[in-house]
Amino acid sequence: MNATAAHRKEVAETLRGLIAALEAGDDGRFEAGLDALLRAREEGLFANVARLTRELHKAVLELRLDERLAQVAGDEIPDARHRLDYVMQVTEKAAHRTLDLVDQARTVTVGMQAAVERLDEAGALLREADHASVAVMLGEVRETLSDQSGHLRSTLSELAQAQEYQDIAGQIIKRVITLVRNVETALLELLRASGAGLQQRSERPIQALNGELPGPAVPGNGPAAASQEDADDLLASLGF
Amino acid sequence: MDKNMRILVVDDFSTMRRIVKNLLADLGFTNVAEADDGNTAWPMLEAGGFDFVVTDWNMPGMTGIDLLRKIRADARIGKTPVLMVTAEAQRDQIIEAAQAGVNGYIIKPFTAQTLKEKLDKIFQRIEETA
Repeated sequence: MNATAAHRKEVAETLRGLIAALEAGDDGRFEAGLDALLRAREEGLFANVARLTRELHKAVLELRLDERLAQVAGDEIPDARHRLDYVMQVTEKAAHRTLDLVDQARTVTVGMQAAVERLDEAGALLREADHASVAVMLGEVRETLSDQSGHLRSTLSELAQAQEYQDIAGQIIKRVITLVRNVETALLELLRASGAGLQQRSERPIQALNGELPGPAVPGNGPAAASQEDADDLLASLGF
Repeated sequence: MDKNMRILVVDDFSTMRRIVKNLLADLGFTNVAEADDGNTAWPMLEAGGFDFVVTDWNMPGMTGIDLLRKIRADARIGKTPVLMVTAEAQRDQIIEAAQAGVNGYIIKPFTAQTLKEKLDKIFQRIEETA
Protein backbone atom coordinates (compact mmCIF):
# COMPACT_ATOMS: atom_id res chain seq x y z
CA MET A 1 0.00 0.00 0.00
CA ASN A 2 1.56 3.27 -1.04
CA ALA A 3 1.43 6.63 0.75
CA THR A 4 -1.45 8.02 -1.32
CA ALA A 5 -3.64 4.91 -0.74
CA ALA A 6 -2.91 5.02 3.02
CA HIS A 7 -3.78 8.70 3.04
CA ARG A 8 -7.04 8.04 1.14
CA LYS A 9 -8.01 5.31 3.65
CA GLU A 10 -7.28 7.61 6.57
CA VAL A 11 -9.42 10.42 5.06
CA ALA A 12 -12.30 7.96 4.36
CA GLU A 13 -12.23 6.79 8.00
CA THR A 14 -12.25 10.39 9.26
CA LEU A 15 -15.19 11.22 6.94
CA ARG A 16 -17.15 8.13 8.13
CA GLY A 17 -16.53 9.28 11.72
CA LEU A 18 -17.78 12.76 10.79
CA ILE A 19 -20.98 11.37 9.19
CA ALA A 20 -21.59 9.20 12.23
CA ALA A 21 -21.17 12.26 14.52
CA LEU A 22 -23.50 14.33 12.29
CA GLU A 23 -26.20 11.61 12.25
CA ALA A 24 -25.86 11.14 16.02
CA GLY A 25 -26.40 14.90 16.44
CA ASP A 26 -22.95 15.32 18.12
CA ASP A 27 -22.21 18.82 16.68
CA GLY A 28 -19.12 19.39 18.84
CA ARG A 29 -17.35 16.24 17.59
CA PHE A 30 -18.39 16.99 13.95
CA GLU A 31 -17.00 20.59 13.99
CA ALA A 32 -13.74 19.56 15.67
CA GLY A 33 -13.26 16.68 13.20
CA LEU A 34 -13.92 18.92 10.14
CA ASP A 35 -11.42 21.56 11.42
CA ALA A 36 -8.74 18.90 11.89
CA LEU A 37 -9.30 17.60 8.35
CA LEU A 38 -8.94 21.09 6.75
CA ARG A 39 -5.86 21.91 8.83
CA ALA A 40 -4.16 18.70 7.72
CA ARG A 41 -4.86 19.62 4.11
CA GLU A 42 -3.28 23.11 4.46
CA GLU A 43 -0.24 21.73 6.25
CA GLY A 44 0.32 19.28 3.39
CA LEU A 45 0.34 22.13 0.87
CA PHE A 46 2.85 24.15 2.95
CA ALA A 47 5.08 21.14 3.30
CA ASN A 48 5.10 20.66 -0.48
CA VAL A 49 5.99 24.33 -1.16
CA ALA A 50 8.78 24.17 1.42
CA ARG A 51 10.16 20.97 -0.14
CA LEU A 52 10.16 22.53 -3.65
CA THR A 53 11.90 25.65 -2.35
CA ARG A 54 14.58 23.56 -0.65
CA GLU A 55 15.14 21.52 -3.83
CA LEU A 56 15.48 24.61 -6.05
CA HIS A 57 17.88 26.24 -3.63
CA LYS A 58 19.95 23.05 -3.52
CA ALA A 59 20.01 22.83 -7.32
CA VAL A 60 21.16 26.45 -7.63
CA LEU A 61 23.85 25.88 -5.01
CA GLU A 62 25.07 22.76 -6.77
CA LEU A 63 25.42 24.68 -10.02
CA ARG A 64 27.17 27.55 -8.17
CA LEU A 65 25.22 29.75 -10.54
CA ASP A 66 24.66 32.67 -8.24
CA GLU A 67 28.39 32.92 -7.66
CA ARG A 68 29.26 32.58 -11.33
CA LEU A 69 26.64 35.02 -12.52
CA ALA A 70 27.71 37.55 -9.90
CA GLN A 71 31.26 37.25 -11.15
CA VAL A 72 30.20 37.63 -14.77
CA ALA A 73 27.95 40.63 -14.13
CA GLY A 74 30.19 42.30 -11.57
CA ASP A 75 33.66 41.84 -13.02
CA GLU A 76 33.83 40.18 -16.38
CA ILE A 77 31.33 42.27 -18.34
CA PRO A 78 32.76 45.66 -17.21
CA ASP A 79 36.20 44.23 -18.00
CA ALA A 80 35.06 43.20 -21.49
CA ARG A 81 33.56 46.64 -22.07
CA HIS A 82 36.83 48.25 -21.07
CA ARG A 83 38.77 45.95 -23.38
CA LEU A 84 36.53 46.73 -26.34
CA ASP A 85 36.91 50.46 -25.66
CA TYR A 86 40.64 49.91 -25.83
CA VAL A 87 40.30 48.05 -29.15
CA MET A 88 38.46 51.09 -30.49
CA GLN A 89 41.26 53.41 -29.36
CA VAL A 90 44.03 51.18 -30.74
CA THR A 91 42.39 50.71 -34.14
CA GLU A 92 41.58 54.42 -34.48
CA LYS A 93 45.13 55.41 -33.59
CA ALA A 94 46.57 52.87 -36.04
CA ALA A 95 44.29 54.08 -38.83
CA HIS A 96 45.41 57.69 -38.30
CA ARG A 97 49.06 56.63 -38.12
CA THR A 98 48.65 54.74 -41.41
CA LEU A 99 47.01 57.76 -43.04
CA ASP A 100 49.83 60.03 -41.77
CA LEU A 101 52.40 57.71 -43.34
CA VAL A 102 50.47 57.62 -46.60
CA ASP A 103 50.59 61.43 -46.61
CA GLN A 104 54.36 61.26 -46.08
CA ALA A 105 54.73 58.81 -48.95
CA ARG A 106 52.76 61.20 -51.17
CA THR A 107 55.29 63.99 -50.53
CA VAL A 108 58.05 61.56 -51.54
CA THR A 109 56.39 61.14 -54.94
CA VAL A 110 56.41 64.95 -55.32
CA GLY A 111 60.21 64.89 -54.81
CA MET A 112 60.60 62.08 -57.32
CA GLN A 113 58.53 63.99 -59.88
CA ALA A 114 60.87 66.99 -59.42
CA ALA A 115 63.83 64.69 -60.12
CA VAL A 116 62.17 63.48 -63.32
CA GLU A 117 61.79 67.11 -64.44
CA ARG A 118 65.49 67.72 -63.77
CA LEU A 119 66.31 64.71 -65.94
CA ASP A 120 64.28 66.25 -68.77
CA GLU A 121 66.30 69.45 -68.43
CA ALA A 122 69.54 67.44 -68.40
CA GLY A 123 68.40 65.68 -71.58
CA ALA A 124 67.92 69.08 -73.28
CA LEU A 125 71.42 70.22 -72.23
CA LEU A 126 72.87 66.95 -73.46
CA ARG A 127 71.46 67.67 -76.90
CA GLU A 128 73.28 71.06 -76.74
CA ALA A 129 76.42 69.11 -75.75
CA ASP A 130 76.85 71.04 -72.44
CA HIS A 131 78.38 68.02 -70.73
CA ALA A 132 79.69 69.81 -67.63
CA SER A 133 76.20 71.08 -66.67
CA VAL A 134 74.69 67.66 -67.38
CA ALA A 135 77.17 66.04 -65.00
CA VAL A 136 76.18 68.52 -62.20
CA MET A 137 72.49 67.91 -62.82
CA LEU A 138 72.84 64.14 -62.86
CA GLY A 139 74.65 64.40 -59.53
CA GLU A 140 71.73 66.40 -58.09
CA VAL A 141 69.17 63.95 -59.41
CA ARG A 142 71.16 61.09 -57.96
CA GLU A 143 71.12 62.83 -54.51
CA THR A 144 67.37 63.50 -54.73
CA LEU A 145 66.48 59.95 -55.72
CA SER A 146 68.74 58.50 -53.06
CA ASP A 147 67.08 60.70 -50.41
CA GLN A 148 63.57 59.97 -51.60
CA SER A 149 64.05 56.22 -51.81
CA GLY A 150 65.42 56.31 -48.24
CA HIS A 151 62.32 58.19 -47.08
CA LEU A 152 60.04 55.85 -48.94
CA ARG A 153 61.73 52.77 -47.48
CA SER A 154 61.38 54.01 -43.89
CA THR A 155 57.78 55.13 -44.49
CA LEU A 156 56.88 51.72 -45.85
CA SER A 157 58.45 49.86 -42.92
CA GLU A 158 56.60 52.12 -40.46
CA LEU A 159 53.45 51.50 -42.43
CA ALA A 160 53.94 47.76 -42.01
CA GLN A 161 54.67 48.22 -38.31
CA ALA A 162 51.50 50.25 -37.83
CA GLN A 163 49.53 47.06 -38.58
CA GLU A 164 50.65 45.53 -35.26
CA TYR A 165 47.38 46.77 -33.74
CA GLN A 166 45.67 43.81 -35.46
CA ASP A 167 47.54 41.41 -33.18
CA ILE A 168 46.55 43.29 -30.01
CA ALA A 169 42.97 43.94 -31.10
CA GLY A 170 42.60 40.33 -32.25
CA GLN A 171 43.77 38.92 -28.91
CA ILE A 172 41.43 41.20 -26.95
CA ILE A 173 38.45 40.36 -29.13
CA LYS A 174 39.17 36.63 -28.69
CA ARG A 175 39.02 37.05 -24.91
CA VAL A 176 35.72 38.87 -25.15
CA ILE A 177 34.32 36.11 -27.38
CA THR A 178 35.28 33.56 -24.70
CA LEU A 179 33.53 35.65 -22.04
CA VAL A 180 30.38 35.90 -24.13
CA ARG A 181 30.41 32.11 -24.58
CA ASN A 182 30.72 31.65 -20.77
CA VAL A 183 27.81 34.00 -20.14
CA GLU A 184 25.75 32.09 -22.71
CA THR A 185 26.50 28.74 -21.02
CA ALA A 186 25.69 30.11 -17.55
CA LEU A 187 22.40 31.59 -18.74
CA LEU A 188 21.41 28.34 -20.47
CA GLU A 189 22.10 26.39 -17.24
CA LEU A 190 20.04 28.91 -15.30
CA LEU A 191 17.16 28.46 -17.73
CA ARG A 192 17.31 24.67 -17.38
CA ALA A 193 17.58 24.85 -13.56
CA SER A 194 14.58 27.14 -13.34
CA GLY A 195 12.64 24.59 -15.42
CA ALA A 196 11.58 27.18 -17.95
CA GLY A 197 13.00 25.06 -20.74
CA LEU A 198 14.17 26.53 -23.97
CA GLN A 199 11.65 28.31 -26.06
CA GLN A 200 12.06 28.18 -29.79
CA ARG A 201 15.45 29.57 -30.73
CA SER A 202 15.31 33.13 -31.97
CA GLU A 203 16.46 33.59 -35.54
CA ARG A 204 18.83 36.43 -34.68
CA PRO A 205 20.61 36.27 -31.31
CA ILE A 206 20.57 40.05 -30.96
CA GLN A 207 17.28 41.44 -32.18
CA ALA A 208 17.59 44.89 -33.70
CA LEU A 209 15.78 47.37 -31.51
CA ASN A 210 12.89 49.19 -33.02
CA GLY A 211 14.28 51.59 -35.62
CA GLU A 212 17.86 50.41 -35.10
CA LEU A 213 19.93 49.80 -38.22
CA PRO A 214 21.37 46.35 -38.95
CA GLY A 215 24.92 47.80 -39.18
CA PRO A 216 27.88 46.37 -41.11
CA ALA A 217 27.18 42.97 -42.62
CA VAL A 218 29.09 40.07 -41.01
CA PRO A 219 29.41 36.97 -43.23
CA GLY A 220 27.21 34.13 -41.93
CA ASN A 221 25.15 36.41 -39.65
CA GLY A 222 21.59 37.50 -40.35
CA PRO A 223 19.92 38.02 -43.71
CA ALA A 224 22.14 38.18 -46.81
CA ALA A 225 23.66 41.61 -47.41
CA ALA A 226 23.70 43.39 -50.74
CA SER A 227 26.99 43.82 -52.59
CA GLN A 228 27.77 47.08 -54.41
CA GLU A 229 26.57 45.34 -57.60
CA ASP A 230 23.26 44.29 -55.95
CA ALA A 231 22.79 47.86 -54.73
CA ASP A 232 23.46 49.23 -58.22
CA ASP A 233 20.96 46.77 -59.77
CA LEU A 234 18.34 47.58 -57.15
CA LEU A 235 18.73 51.33 -57.68
CA ALA A 236 18.65 50.85 -61.46
CA SER A 237 15.36 48.92 -61.11
CA LEU A 238 13.99 51.89 -59.13
CA GLY A 239 14.91 54.21 -61.98
CA PHE A 240 18.28 55.49 -60.72
CA MET B 1 32.43 68.35 -63.56
CA ASP B 2 33.77 71.38 -61.69
CA LYS B 3 36.85 70.31 -59.73
CA ASN B 4 36.50 73.38 -57.52
CA MET B 5 33.00 72.51 -56.33
CA ARG B 6 32.52 72.64 -52.56
CA ILE B 7 31.96 69.20 -51.01
CA LEU B 8 30.77 68.35 -47.47
CA VAL B 9 31.87 64.98 -46.06
CA VAL B 10 29.70 63.79 -43.13
CA ASP B 11 30.85 60.79 -41.04
CA ASP B 12 31.19 60.23 -37.28
CA PHE B 13 34.56 58.44 -37.70
CA SER B 14 37.41 60.87 -38.28
CA THR B 15 39.46 58.16 -40.07
CA MET B 16 36.64 57.60 -42.56
CA ARG B 17 36.33 61.36 -43.23
CA ARG B 18 40.06 61.46 -43.86
CA ILE B 19 39.95 58.49 -46.24
CA VAL B 20 37.06 59.97 -48.25
CA LYS B 21 38.85 63.35 -48.31
CA ASN B 22 42.06 61.70 -49.60
CA LEU B 23 40.17 59.82 -52.30
CA LEU B 24 38.40 63.00 -53.38
CA ALA B 25 41.79 64.78 -53.49
CA ASP B 26 43.11 62.01 -55.76
CA LEU B 27 40.17 62.69 -58.07
CA GLY B 28 41.09 66.39 -58.08
CA PHE B 29 38.50 67.69 -55.59
CA THR B 30 40.24 69.67 -52.87
CA ASN B 31 37.51 72.10 -51.75
CA VAL B 32 36.23 69.77 -49.02
CA ALA B 33 34.74 70.47 -45.56
CA GLU B 34 33.90 67.93 -42.83
CA ALA B 35 31.09 67.37 -40.31
CA ASP B 36 30.76 64.55 -37.76
CA ASP B 37 26.96 64.06 -37.96
CA GLY B 38 23.77 65.55 -39.39
CA ASN B 39 23.40 68.05 -36.57
CA THR B 40 26.84 69.52 -37.32
CA ALA B 41 26.32 69.33 -41.08
CA TRP B 42 22.92 71.07 -41.18
CA PRO B 43 23.96 74.62 -40.16
CA MET B 44 26.93 74.39 -42.58
CA LEU B 45 24.61 73.37 -45.42
CA GLU B 46 22.03 75.99 -44.44
CA ALA B 47 24.72 78.68 -44.65
CA GLY B 48 24.94 77.72 -48.33
CA GLY B 49 27.75 77.25 -50.83
CA PHE B 50 27.92 73.43 -50.91
CA ASP B 51 27.60 71.74 -54.30
CA PHE B 52 27.73 68.13 -53.14
CA VAL B 53 27.25 66.06 -49.93
CA VAL B 54 28.88 62.70 -49.14
CA THR B 55 27.29 61.23 -46.00
CA ASP B 56 27.41 58.13 -43.81
CA TRP B 57 24.04 56.74 -42.62
CA ASN B 58 24.51 55.51 -39.05
CA MET B 59 25.71 58.44 -36.91
CA PRO B 60 24.84 59.62 -33.41
CA GLY B 61 22.78 62.80 -33.27
CA MET B 62 21.24 63.18 -36.71
CA THR B 63 21.63 60.19 -39.06
CA GLY B 64 22.49 60.47 -42.74
CA ILE B 65 18.99 59.47 -43.88
CA ASP B 66 17.44 62.21 -41.71
CA LEU B 67 19.96 64.72 -43.05
CA LEU B 68 19.05 63.66 -46.61
CA ARG B 69 15.31 64.11 -45.89
CA LYS B 70 15.99 67.50 -44.30
CA ILE B 71 17.98 68.64 -47.34
CA ARG B 72 15.24 67.47 -49.76
CA ALA B 73 12.57 69.25 -47.70
CA ASP B 74 14.42 72.57 -47.86
CA ALA B 75 13.52 74.97 -50.69
CA ARG B 76 16.99 76.58 -50.83
CA ILE B 77 19.27 73.53 -50.85
CA GLY B 78 16.76 70.77 -51.73
CA LYS B 79 18.45 69.96 -55.05
CA THR B 80 21.98 69.42 -53.64
CA PRO B 81 23.20 66.00 -54.83
CA VAL B 82 23.76 63.54 -51.95
CA LEU B 83 25.91 60.40 -52.08
CA MET B 84 25.35 57.89 -49.26
CA VAL B 85 28.48 55.95 -48.21
CA THR B 86 27.44 53.41 -45.60
CA ALA B 87 27.93 49.94 -44.13
CA GLU B 88 24.15 49.40 -44.23
CA ALA B 89 23.82 46.73 -46.89
CA GLN B 90 20.23 45.52 -46.50
CA ARG B 91 17.75 45.84 -49.37
CA ASP B 92 15.29 47.75 -47.17
CA GLN B 93 17.90 50.41 -46.38
CA ILE B 94 18.85 50.89 -50.03
CA ILE B 95 15.17 51.28 -50.98
CA GLU B 96 14.59 53.68 -48.07
CA ALA B 97 17.51 55.85 -49.21
CA ALA B 98 16.23 55.80 -52.81
CA GLN B 99 12.77 56.87 -51.67
CA ALA B 100 14.30 59.68 -49.60
CA GLY B 101 15.92 60.98 -52.80
CA VAL B 102 19.55 59.84 -52.62
CA ASN B 103 21.65 60.35 -55.78
CA GLY B 104 24.06 57.45 -55.21
CA TYR B 105 24.63 54.60 -52.73
CA ILE B 106 28.04 53.13 -51.89
CA ILE B 107 28.44 50.17 -49.52
CA LYS B 108 31.47 50.18 -47.19
CA PRO B 109 34.13 48.93 -47.54
CA PHE B 110 34.51 50.49 -50.98
CA THR B 111 37.24 51.23 -53.52
CA ALA B 112 38.49 54.48 -55.07
CA GLN B 113 37.17 53.18 -58.40
CA THR B 114 33.59 52.83 -57.02
CA LEU B 115 33.70 56.39 -55.66
CA LYS B 116 34.87 57.70 -59.03
CA GLU B 117 32.15 55.79 -60.91
CA LYS B 118 29.36 57.07 -58.66
CA LEU B 119 30.60 60.67 -58.82
CA ASP B 120 30.83 60.51 -62.63
CA LYS B 121 27.35 59.02 -62.86
CA ILE B 122 25.75 61.54 -60.50
CA PHE B 123 27.17 64.57 -62.33
CA GLN B 124 26.53 63.07 -65.75
CA ARG B 125 22.84 62.75 -64.78
CA ILE B 126 22.74 66.30 -63.46
CA GLU B 127 24.20 67.63 -66.71
CA GLU B 128 21.71 65.59 -68.75
CA THR B 129 18.72 66.97 -66.84
CA ALA B 130 20.08 70.53 -66.64
